[in-house]
Amino acid sequence: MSLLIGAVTIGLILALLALGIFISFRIFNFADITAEGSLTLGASISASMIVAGFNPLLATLVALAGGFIAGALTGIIHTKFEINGLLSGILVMTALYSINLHVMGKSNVPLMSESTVITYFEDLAKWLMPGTETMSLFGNSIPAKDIIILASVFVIVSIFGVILYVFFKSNFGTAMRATGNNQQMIRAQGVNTKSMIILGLAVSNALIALSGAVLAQFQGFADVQMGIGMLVWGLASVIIGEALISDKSLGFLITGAIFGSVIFRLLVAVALRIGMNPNDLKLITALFVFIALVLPKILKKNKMKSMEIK
Amino acid sequence: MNKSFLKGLIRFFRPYLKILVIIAVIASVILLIDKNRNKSETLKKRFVLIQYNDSPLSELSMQGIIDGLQTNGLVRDKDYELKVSNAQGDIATLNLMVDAVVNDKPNLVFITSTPPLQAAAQKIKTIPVVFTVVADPIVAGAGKSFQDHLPNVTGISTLGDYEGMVKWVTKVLPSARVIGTIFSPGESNSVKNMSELKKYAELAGIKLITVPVNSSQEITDAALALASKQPDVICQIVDNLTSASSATIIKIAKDNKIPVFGFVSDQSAKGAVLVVSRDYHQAGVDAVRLALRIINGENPAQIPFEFVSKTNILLNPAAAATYGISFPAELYGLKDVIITK
Repeated sequence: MSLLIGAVTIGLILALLALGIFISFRIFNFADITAEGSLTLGASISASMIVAGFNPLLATLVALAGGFIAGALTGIIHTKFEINGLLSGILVMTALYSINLHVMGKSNVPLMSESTVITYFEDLAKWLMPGTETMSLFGNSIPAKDIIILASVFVIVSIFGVILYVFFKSNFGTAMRATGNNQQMIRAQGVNTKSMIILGLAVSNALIALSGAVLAQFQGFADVQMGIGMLVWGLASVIIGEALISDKSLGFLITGAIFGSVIFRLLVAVALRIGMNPNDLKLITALFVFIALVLPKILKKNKMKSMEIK
Repeated sequence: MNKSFLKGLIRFFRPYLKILVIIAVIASVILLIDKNRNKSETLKKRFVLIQYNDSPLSELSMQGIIDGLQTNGLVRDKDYELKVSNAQGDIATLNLMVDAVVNDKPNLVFITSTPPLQAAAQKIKTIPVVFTVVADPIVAGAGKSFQDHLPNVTGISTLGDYEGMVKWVTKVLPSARVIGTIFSPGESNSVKNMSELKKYAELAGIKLITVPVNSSQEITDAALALASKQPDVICQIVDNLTSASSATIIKIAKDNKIPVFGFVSDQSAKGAVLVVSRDYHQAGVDAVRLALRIINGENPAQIPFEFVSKTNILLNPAAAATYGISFPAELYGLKDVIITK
């Protein structure tokens, strides 16, 4: 049961990453690899500030701002200096590695005994259910604080999902979406596409840095290598969500990215659970994702066939 | 009104149907496996080993753990079960592995390297945790000192043997008064290693001169700068930046007729005269020794952290000859000495 709760919690924390990648990948149509640097940037800024004694909420907000700046930088390199989007991301990601080392002053910052946003959630659990250490769910006992942490992360992700939805439905957000769809058309409407891309990437990386900040506080440390591979997982989440939700309008795509991230982590959890050779973990994970994407299609086809026979 | 509300609700959730069903299926699979797992309670001891990535260090220490259990008379799958989990470098998966441990409640958890130790220290509060291949468990946050640490965590530190290094410098080169190293200020382990070397060198009346580097391109210049300061010997410490370029450092030192001593076994074949290297296989064996004390009823809170008990000394006589260095006879007589040809 702890594994299930843990998988959903991690899935939701990384859903913020998926939302960020949704913006760069689905709105602006390129895979922004800045993500791997900005996730670590968020983690390292929040961890260093918390260790230095700042309020964890403030630290998380500064981490968000740090990601915003990193993303804006990628956008500026891409638009003002006309460097290929992928390469701009690579440049900023590479630079961020050194910056993250400088922010932390070392390669790894532990947060074991510090008060973090997650400890706030634990306090919330104590306040909501004084005296209850464990709860019972489907006959399994689980620590009450894990449930509250899960619920709190869910609320945070929902809030950011709604903000994104409202933002992209506004006139400004619609212009931003149109920038990704048809630059010439929207430029003819008098929109500055360059600043749209810069701002879009900034928002995207702000979300990713937030994801990193929450992840670091959840797992109790920030490490300079924690961003490696994150772009790929984020892309996978966005695509899984898209494939499994039948409606393709904006709201569904946003919720799809969130669900996709949760499904992805659940699949990893199953792969961990079935007790195979540890070297095969990623192979099995890839296989599961494949099955999750293909199975609904096969079922649908069979259903249609049986209807034809009737 | 109720009916239309229900209809609206159904219409709203319809596109999510597929995804919700899939989530429900996966969740029940996890719970089902959990249930069956908990039923199969046996007398076997259940151990879990959590690793962060695939590296020679993690493989050597894992083999050490398996060999250690065997030499203590325990047979795999008969007396104990060892489940090996490797996050393959993915930090989110690492967190799930720790959750799986909390879920399964094995008798004991082995950990190699720092990130899994930190993830475990955050979440595992009741199951004993024994780590190994962690250079500095104090910096990692596992305790305040080797004696005063998290109550369920103990293990083996593999910090370099600086005391031993200084001892061998004074024995092999009795006239040495100044030693040098390149270090990387951006890495906590590098700064730590440098200050440890400095501490033991000063105790022996030897001065340490250092040159900082921030990127791999600067290493050639840094090595030249260090060589121009004419230390009697370069004792190159371990960090991620310089260890990848140790061949460059050794070559420049050789051009300037300064011998190099090192801390990683591969430096020996590259021309380091003497290497004092921690034995990572032994680190696994040592971890098993602590683990069995816990299994036999000792409280991990009462077991202090230890340094790995075995250190290898690698000698390169050919390299030594180019500097006119001859090793004292007592070195050849030691048990853990390896001669590089």
